[in-house]
Amino acid sequence: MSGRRVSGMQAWVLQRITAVYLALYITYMVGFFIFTPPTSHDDWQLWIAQPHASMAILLFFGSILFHAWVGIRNILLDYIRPFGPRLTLLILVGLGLIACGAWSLEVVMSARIA
Amino acid sequence: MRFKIHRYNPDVDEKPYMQDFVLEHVKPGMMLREALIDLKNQDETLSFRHSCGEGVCGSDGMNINGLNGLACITPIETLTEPVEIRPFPGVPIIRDLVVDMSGFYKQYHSVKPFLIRYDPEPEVENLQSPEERDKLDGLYECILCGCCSTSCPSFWWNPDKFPGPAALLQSWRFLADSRDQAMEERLDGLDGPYKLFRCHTIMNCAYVCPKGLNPTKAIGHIKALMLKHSV
Repeated sequence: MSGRRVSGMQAWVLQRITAVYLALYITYMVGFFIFTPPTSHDDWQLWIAQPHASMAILLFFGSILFHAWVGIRNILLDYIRPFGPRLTLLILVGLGLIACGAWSLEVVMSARIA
Repeated sequence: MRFKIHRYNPDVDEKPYMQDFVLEHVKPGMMLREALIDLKNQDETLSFRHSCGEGVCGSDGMNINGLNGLACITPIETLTEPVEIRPFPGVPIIRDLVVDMSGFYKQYHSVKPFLIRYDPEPEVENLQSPEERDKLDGLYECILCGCCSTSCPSFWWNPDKFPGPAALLQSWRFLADSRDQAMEERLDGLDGPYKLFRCHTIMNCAYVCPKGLNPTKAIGHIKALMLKHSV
């Protein structure tokens, strides 16, 4: 049954799990910027070169993209009724989010190498 | 006391309009239903549903100053003037304040609001412990007036697919019943993006329920139960 449909519970669970991570990570980052903010470009580079920092920020980008996907999908399912425009918008949003993910991956990886 | 009441007779009117009424004799403790009956004596073409007059039958649900409620248990002294009375939002209007509730009932039927048992019929009653019975409090009292579902944006946008708070409250009423044996089917029927998970916890339903019930809480229980049975 659920194979034929857009997911219901999976999307809901995914949105909640990512919300928890986003809340924790944003709280941590606010503390980070208040107490030990990087002051120079070299500081930033050193910080992002640490595996746990780059993993955590990539997980943050991943979480925010999945979270946004479920949220925007919900809005489109509510407000865009005709099949054509709905599918077009879903594809555009999906591609846009994938592009954002690829871009953030590229930024973080290139910062680590440089 | 001044009223503005939604009027629409599809045989005569091109589009709906608001008609002004003045109620001369406001009696102490008067409920809106009695006021509407007096106003109907002024203009007999005014149509609205009502029956028991004490918040039990659920017939006179309407939108009162922007909030869904039952006219028979709404004291008019609590209302600011002019009192704007409209039909339930988001459902087809038959005439004036009378709406077509068949979509609402269809969704109610879709959750199978009755006990389903696969065991052979017992010789005596299906017994429950007092604790098991307590779980049905806050669920069985629903009178199906429709105040909650017609105040729910998710129900407005998808009345054909989303069961709505009233139907989901009843779904939980039978999921929570120790005598029911159809939990898996009930849960399967509620998965997918348009059923249980079209509820975005807006909570208009709990806010307007004239019986003080909380469909949002019931929906939360169903979500937790579904999660428990999926991992």
